[in-house]
Amino acid sequence: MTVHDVIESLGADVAVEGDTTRLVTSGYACDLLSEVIAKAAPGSVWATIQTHVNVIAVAAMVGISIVIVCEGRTCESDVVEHAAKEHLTILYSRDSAYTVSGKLYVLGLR
Amino acid sequence: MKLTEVLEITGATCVAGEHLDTVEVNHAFASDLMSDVLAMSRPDTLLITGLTTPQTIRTAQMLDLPAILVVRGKDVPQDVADLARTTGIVLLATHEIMYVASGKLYARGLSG
Amino acid sequence: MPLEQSVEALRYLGLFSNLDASSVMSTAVHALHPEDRVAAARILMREKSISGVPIVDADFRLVGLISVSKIIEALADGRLADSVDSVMTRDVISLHAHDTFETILSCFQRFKFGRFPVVEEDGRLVGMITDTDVLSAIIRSFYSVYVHDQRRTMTLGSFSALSKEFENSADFVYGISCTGLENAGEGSARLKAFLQTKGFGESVVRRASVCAYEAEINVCIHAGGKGSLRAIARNGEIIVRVEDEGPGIENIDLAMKEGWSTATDAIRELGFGAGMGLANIRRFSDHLVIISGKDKPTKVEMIFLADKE
Repeated sequence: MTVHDVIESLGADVAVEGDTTRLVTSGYACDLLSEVIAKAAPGSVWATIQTHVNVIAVAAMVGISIVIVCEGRTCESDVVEHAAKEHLTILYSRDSAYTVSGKLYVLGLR
Repeated sequence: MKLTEVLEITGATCVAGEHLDTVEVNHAFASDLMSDVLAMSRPDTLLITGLTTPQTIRTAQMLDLPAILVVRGKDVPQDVADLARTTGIVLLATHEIMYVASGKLYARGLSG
Repeated sequence: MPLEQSVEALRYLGLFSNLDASSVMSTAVHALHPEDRVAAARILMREKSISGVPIVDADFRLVGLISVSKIIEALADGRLADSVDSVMTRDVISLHAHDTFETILSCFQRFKFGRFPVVEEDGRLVGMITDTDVLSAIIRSFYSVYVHDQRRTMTLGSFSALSKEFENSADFVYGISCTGLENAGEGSARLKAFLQTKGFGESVVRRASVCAYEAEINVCIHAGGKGSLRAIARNGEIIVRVEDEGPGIENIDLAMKEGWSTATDAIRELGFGAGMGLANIRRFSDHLVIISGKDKPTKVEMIFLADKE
C-alpha cells in the first residue's frame, strides 16, 4: 500500500501532499508524542487528534509516511507549511482515530 | 459486543471487574487525551487508551462508560486498578497497540 | 443606568455583537394590505395580541404600519369600514435585517415605539422586533457563554453575573487540594454521586460531572491544585461553581479557543492540556460564566438545565 492508495481508499481531505509513491507499512494510533517517538515504526500511518506543530517534528523524526488528523480537526497553516517542508502528507478525517484505524486495518494495513 | 468477545479478539486480560459476559458495549473510542474522550457523549462505549493514570478511570466514571481497554502492554498501577474496582468500571489490558486493537474490533463489527 | 449609557456600555463591551436584527426579530409576522379594512386590523390585533400591524404591498414590501392608537382614532371617527390605506402611518421607522444590536437599542431609545418592522434591502418585510424580542435575544445569548474579565468590571461596576445563592449556602462543597494530577477528579466523582441522589436524569448528571471534572483538572494544572468545587442542585437545575486562587487566565478569548493551551509538555503526556477543557465545558453547559484576569482568581460557573433534554 502506498500513500496514494491510502488517500484514495480513505476518502479523507488532503491538507498537504508529500511523496505519494511512498510505501505505507503499518498503522499507529496515538496522541502521546513520546509514545510515537518510542514505539511507532518508520513508514507508519499515524492517526491522532493532536494538531500541535510538534506533531510534524515527531513524524519527521520517526519517518511517519502519513499523519491523519481525526475528528474533523485541522492544523494551523504554519503546521501545514512545516509538513510541506518535510515532504509529509497530512490528511483530515471526520472519523475518530478508532474508525480510521478500523478502516485501514480492514483495507489490509496490518 | 460482549466484553468476553473484546477479551478474545484483542487477547486482553481482565485487570478489574467481573461477569464480563454480562457487560455489553456498542461503540468504541480510542484516544490518549482525556479531554478528547470527555467531548464524546455516548455511555455504551468501550474506551481504548494507552493512558493508565487515575484520570483514565475518572474520565470513564464521569461519562458512565462501562469498560476501558488499556493498550500497548502498559502496566496498570495498583491504585488505578483499585479505583476501577471501587467505581465499578471493567478494566482490560492488552499488549496490542491502539491501532491493531482498534482494527481488530472494528473488523469484527464494533462500530466507532 | 440610563438606556443611553447602557447602549454605550454594550458598544464598549462588544457584548451581543453577534446579534443582528435578523437574529433578534420574530419571523411569525401578521401583515395586511393597504386595501384591507381597518376593521380587519382591529380583529387581527385582538386575536394575535399585537399592538401594531405592518402593511405591505403585493410584493410584501413595507408601505405602512397601523398601531392601536390609529385604530382608536378610526373607531372614534367611525372609519372602521375604510381601507387601512387611509389611516396607516406611511413614514414607518424600520430596521434592516443586518442592523446591529446597538442600532436596534438606539431605535427603541430614540423613537419610543413598541415595535419595529425589519426589512430586506429591497424593502420586503421579513420580521418584527418588539421589546420582548430584544429581551429574549439577550436571554438566549446569556445561555451560551458570558466571559467577564477586568475590562468588564470597569464598565459594569459591581454587576455580578454569578449566582447569588452561593453567598448563603451551597448544597455540595468540596475543597480541591491536589499536588499534580493524581487526585484530580475526586471532587467531581463525589459531586456526581451527590447529584445522583438528587433525582436528576442520567444525562444532565453526566454533563455536569464532565464539566466539573474539566474545571477541577484546570485548577490542578493551572492554579496549583488549590480551590473549591461547590454546587447547588434545586428546581430542575444544577449550578456548579469552581474557584481557585490564581494566577488567572490572561486572555480568556484565546483560552476558550479549542486547541489552545498553556499547559506544559509534561501535562500533555498525561493526557490533558490539549486545549479542550473550556471548549468541553462550553459544549456541555447551558449557561457559562467565567471571571478571571491576569494574576486574578478564576471563577467558573456552569448551569445545567434538567429539562433541556
